[in-house]
Amino acid sequence: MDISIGVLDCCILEALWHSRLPKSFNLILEDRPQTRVGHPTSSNYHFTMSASFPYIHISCPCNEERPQIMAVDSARPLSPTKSPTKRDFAVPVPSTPLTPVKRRLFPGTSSFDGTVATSGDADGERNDEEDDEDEENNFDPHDQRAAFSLFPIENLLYCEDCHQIRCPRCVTDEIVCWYCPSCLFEVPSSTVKSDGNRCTRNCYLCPICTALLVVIPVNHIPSSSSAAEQQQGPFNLFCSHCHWTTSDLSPPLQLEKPTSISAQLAKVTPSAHDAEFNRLKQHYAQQLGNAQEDFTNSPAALTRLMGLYTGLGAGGSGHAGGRKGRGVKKLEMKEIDRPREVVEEREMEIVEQMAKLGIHATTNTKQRLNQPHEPRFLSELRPTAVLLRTKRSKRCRACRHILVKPESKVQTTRFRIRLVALNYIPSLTIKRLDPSIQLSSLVPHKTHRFLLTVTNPLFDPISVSLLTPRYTPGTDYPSRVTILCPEFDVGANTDVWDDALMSTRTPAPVPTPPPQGNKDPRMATVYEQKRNYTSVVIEVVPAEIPDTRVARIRDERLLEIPIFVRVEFEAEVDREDEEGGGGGTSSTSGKHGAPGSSGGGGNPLGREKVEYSYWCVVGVGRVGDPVEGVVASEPNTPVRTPVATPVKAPRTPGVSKTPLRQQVRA
Amino acid sequence: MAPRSSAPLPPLSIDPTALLSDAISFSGSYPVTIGSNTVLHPRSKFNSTDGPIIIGSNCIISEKTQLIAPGVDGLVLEDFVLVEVNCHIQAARIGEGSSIEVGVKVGKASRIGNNCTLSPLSTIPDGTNLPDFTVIYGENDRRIDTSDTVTARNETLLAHIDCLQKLLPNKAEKYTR
Ligand SMILES: [Zn+2]
Ligand SMILES: [Zn+2]
Ligand SMILES: [Zn+2]
Ligand SMILES: [Zn+2]
Repeated sequence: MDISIGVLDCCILEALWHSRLPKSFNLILEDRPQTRVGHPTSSNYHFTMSASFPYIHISCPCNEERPQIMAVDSARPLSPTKSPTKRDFAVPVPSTPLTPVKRRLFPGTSSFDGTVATSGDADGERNDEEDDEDEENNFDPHDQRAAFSLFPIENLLYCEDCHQIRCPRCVTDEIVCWYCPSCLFEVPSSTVKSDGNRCTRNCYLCPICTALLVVIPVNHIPSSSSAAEQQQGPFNLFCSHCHWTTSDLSPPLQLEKPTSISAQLAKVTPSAHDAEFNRLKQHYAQQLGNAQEDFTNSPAALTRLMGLYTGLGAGGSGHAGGRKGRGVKKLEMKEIDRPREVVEEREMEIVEQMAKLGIHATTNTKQRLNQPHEPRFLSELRPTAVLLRTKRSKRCRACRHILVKPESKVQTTRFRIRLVALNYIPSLTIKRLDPSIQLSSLVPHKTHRFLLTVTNPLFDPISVSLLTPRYTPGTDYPSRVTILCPEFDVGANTDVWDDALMSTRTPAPVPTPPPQGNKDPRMATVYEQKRNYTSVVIEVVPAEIPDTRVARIRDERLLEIPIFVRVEFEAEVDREDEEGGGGGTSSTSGKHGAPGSSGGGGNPLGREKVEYSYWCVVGVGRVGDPVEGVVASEPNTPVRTPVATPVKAPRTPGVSKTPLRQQVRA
Repeated sequence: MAPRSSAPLPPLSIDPTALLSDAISFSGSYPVTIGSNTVLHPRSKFNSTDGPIIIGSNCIISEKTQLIAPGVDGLVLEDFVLVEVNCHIQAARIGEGSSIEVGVKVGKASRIGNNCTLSPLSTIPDGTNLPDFTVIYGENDRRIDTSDTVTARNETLLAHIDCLQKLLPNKAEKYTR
């Protein structure tokens, strides 16, 4: 029971850390915004998400090892009529890649078997060895690092200047204001600095269950009584969830007035720990006064404080002279004189009380850690003041432009700026074609068909290429994946636009959506095409995965498919915008006369070919145990379907399409 | 939605001051008794197939709540019981002044004491005996309510019933025919 002074003071400081640390420590810990709600971070990734199949997470470009450089590249014009070939991919790699594709993906060997199939007719049939070789070039969802950059699209922002997706890792937060979530009063930052990060008004939480406490009279006052009578005390703080009241404390805590609770509580509950804190604060403030330095804001002072605990020990001022510090004055700070002792009798008392009252009278860990004085018994708990929250604006780390800016008024939930990725990049959704598919136990060797839908949020029609490795990478038991129609168009998000134009100007040059009866052979296997979304079929043949220890540890049964999404469209650009230069992923191919799709509006605006791409990971489900009767039909299913990338050679649409439709109807 | 003629109502004994809304479903053959000043919301369900159901006075039974008699001894709701939306109750007895909040499941033949509070979505296993003044909160944690707020809560409940009686049309005669 003999603890050195330094450690004890440290403990106290740590406790204060939670309760009333000044803002300059930049440690308003508990109110971190929940930007990653439901989002996996590394280790618990596979476990947290496994509950809700299927899911689609998009990889932020920050996943790449490369630094984020925003230089404009020598743009390579892309023709929408020509499908990408191996030669296209093997174009001399610019110093900064246009896409979030990994660098080593480009040169030499192709990463997608489809690209080979398009370029060489002879080696259209790939063999598995080559696939294995390519595996490492693909995005590997099993990679430990990958989990950090994978987010549901709802959690992503989009920087208009960088033309990049921005995940919570790629933005910096700035606090707009502090407020109490319960009374919605804004707290000025100076108050936060002086009074700590909790509400100083009347908001208190139940220490038992964390619900909000209300003030009620201790003795029941009939509602028929007059207003004056109702204002008569004493009062309790009451939790309407678990019915805890401050009268449950020992000694019972009762208030005289129903208002200014903080002041009353401070008076009624003089805790030994608060006294200790004040003593320490006074002592160190004095020390600081000597040092004549702003303790909280100076890194040098902080270093000095830390020095007290690390190198020098108690009363270590004598050693300070030996330190060579540039500009750091001779260490003059002293530890507080009196050690805080652990009284043995007090500890024995606690043990006795525990024996007497039993386990139900003691606090649980959560309750204990929520309180600065770490009470051991329920009767020692105190109402906890509500933690403040912040509204934050977010900036792009690369270009410092603001991506999110909330209205500074606390009561409004509107945003002045909110560049969410949902409005910029096509969103993918996946669902089962056959409702009998059990996502939590996919049958090995069986062909599972899913519907992959790409929804276009833009006001321009886009053409989308979905590329996926033929076998899922990063696992010893790769499953086979086939996207039946990997390249297709998605119509513009027009309707809303139409309405807007109708209401303001009458003769509006509306960009016409692509004709519905498109005879383009590329559309041959598109499953469904509506206004601004297109659905294609993706076939998955899971591998048989043994139930070994290693496989369980590596969670091999989780079937995640990386898909590389490439989007091309023609966008109208302002001239000024063009001068500013494009960003990372957009590439300009000069000004087109805007024929075709613009509908001849007569507006000679510049048209720009924009291309961008990203990886996403589709969590399809979990592979189950093999089912009898379903056996491997390797190397290929009877139906030869185009793999991953468009094939130039004439398709056999009838073959791949007809059985599909039949199955759907059945 | 009138009660279907094909499925005869169980014998009902309804106090004239009780308020029965439209579309309450009664099933079973054992009698159902409803006490004075009690309010039954629309789409509440009463199943007396295995035993009688007795509801005391000044109770509220909310929408989509099912009361199922667990056995021949029946289900007894004493006075001043508030049952909120979407509960599933197969208890043998619910004591006076208890409040059963949203989505609570009360297991078969369990006995809830007086002035208990079951907070939303808590589950009471079959055959549980809850002592008086028990509060189930959080993740089925228990504590004893010493707040001495029973009178206040009953008063609130009466005001609640008062308000409902003004708002809800009474269709009691539909069921008494
Ligand atoms: Zn990022
Ligand atoms: Zn407040
Ligand atoms: Zn509580
Ligand atoms: Zn930026």
